[in-house]
Amino acid sequence: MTLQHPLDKLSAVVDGELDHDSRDKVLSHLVGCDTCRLEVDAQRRLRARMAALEAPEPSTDLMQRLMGVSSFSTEPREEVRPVLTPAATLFPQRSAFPAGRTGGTRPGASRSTRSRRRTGVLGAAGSAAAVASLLGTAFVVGDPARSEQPPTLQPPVASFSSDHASTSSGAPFADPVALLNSYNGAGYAGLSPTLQPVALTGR
Amino acid sequence: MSLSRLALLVSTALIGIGLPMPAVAVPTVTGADSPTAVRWLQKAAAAPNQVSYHGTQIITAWGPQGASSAMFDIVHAAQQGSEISVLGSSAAPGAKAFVQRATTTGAAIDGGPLALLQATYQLVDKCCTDIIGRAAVLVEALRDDRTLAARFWIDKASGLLLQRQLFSADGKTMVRATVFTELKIESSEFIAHLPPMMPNGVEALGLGKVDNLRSQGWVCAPQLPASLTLYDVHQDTTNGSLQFSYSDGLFNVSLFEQRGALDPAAVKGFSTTETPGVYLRYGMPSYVVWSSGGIVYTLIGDLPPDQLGEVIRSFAHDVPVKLTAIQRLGTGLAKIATWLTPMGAVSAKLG
Repeated sequence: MTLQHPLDKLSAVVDGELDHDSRDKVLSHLVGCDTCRLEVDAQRRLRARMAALEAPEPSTDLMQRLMGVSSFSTEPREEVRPVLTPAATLFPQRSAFPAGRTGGTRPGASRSTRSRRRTGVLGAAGSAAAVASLLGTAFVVGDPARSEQPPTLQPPVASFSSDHASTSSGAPFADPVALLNSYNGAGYAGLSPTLQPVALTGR
Repeated sequence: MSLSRLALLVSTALIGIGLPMPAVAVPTVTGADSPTAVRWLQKAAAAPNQVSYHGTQIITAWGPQGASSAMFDIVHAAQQGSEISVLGSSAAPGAKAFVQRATTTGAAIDGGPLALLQATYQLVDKCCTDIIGRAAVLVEALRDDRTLAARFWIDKASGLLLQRQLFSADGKTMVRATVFTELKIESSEFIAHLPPMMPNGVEALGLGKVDNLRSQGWVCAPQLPASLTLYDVHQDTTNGSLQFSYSDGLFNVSLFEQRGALDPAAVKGFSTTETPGVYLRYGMPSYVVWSSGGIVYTLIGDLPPDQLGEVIRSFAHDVPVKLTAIQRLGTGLAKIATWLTPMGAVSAKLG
């Protein structure tokens, strides 16, 4: 039996939080140490009394006032709420009370900072994309060619060539070059393409 | 090189070398037209309606693009019209065209109205010569400054125009020549089995409708630079385009107008000019396109380059608006802002 009292483990043995080996060691000590056994008995009684007590309910007025505080919500809350970035909603596991987190005092603090940075970057990227989209649209809309112009058209140059040749008054053969410029590779220039050159007879 | 191609080149060279000799005004001419010159030209204008023939013709044009030539086999029936076949061309082998006999009453020499030729130039009878083995009469057209504008060789026997040469403003540089290298007069020419002429939807409006067209916003000046005069108007009922025919009696220009703005894709193959927004293609004939005030203009004609430039410059042109990127963004943002305001949306619908 050791003379050293395991005082730091007495409350743990009362709460049943010790592993098998530690518990055996403490119980072995208690068999031979009256001081420690009295301490354990006192703690067991206190625990029993605490367990017998009912948990106090908060007043309705207090809850209403708490719900009125904007920073208090039962829903997950983000410090940054970026506009037009649905990516932010992809992380619902984030703490609902980021204000309660203090840097370096909790194990998840560094991860929370990274998450906030990522949120900020995503927000900034989303905003930049929105601005770029607006400017791109403005650039296209600002094209002077789009400003209330009549419909564009391509002049039928081949047809006009034929008209130029055939409507030159008086002459049976005014401008054959213009007429044949409208030649489409088959048939008679200026006439239906289904028509084929014909044999010349009777002369 | 094919025989026909060789013949074309040789003929072109002969035209260019052999003819510029008396290409200046003859000092003995007076201000009035020579009556015999007018009579010969009247006979030449009437001859295609009375004489049938079969011949080979070469047309050559000189311009900034160099010389362009084409050779044709022409079968002309006085009561029908002309069937034209391309010879020696790899670009359009077998191409044929048929031009119906003219039904208009106005006399014309190779497409140029005789009345305008008389009004614009002084006509001089240079008397007798011979060409392609036929007795002919040479008639010259002179400008007011006595420079030579054109020469006509007219067949004495038939009255047919055997050759025509056109000169630029200096009176020495030949810009276009039409030459028969072979000609056989036929007594009973008749072209059978021609394909039916398709109605092309072109309607003659005449000069009487010009004022009405102007009131509708169409641009049709009675005169253009280079002594060109408006002498006829047609409308294509299929696309609504208008054709204004101009001539000085020698050079012919058709100005086509359509409502709209010129599609940039339409100028493929054209070159830009010193005037922004005007696109040009030299050749036989030359083509110029541009748009202005909601009208697309297509000008087709055989004018020499200098005169063509004068005509183009006489019209208004839409100058392409060039904005900086910042100006363009500002314009676009302002337009978007009007969309977002209720009054802007309403005004857009109200026009």
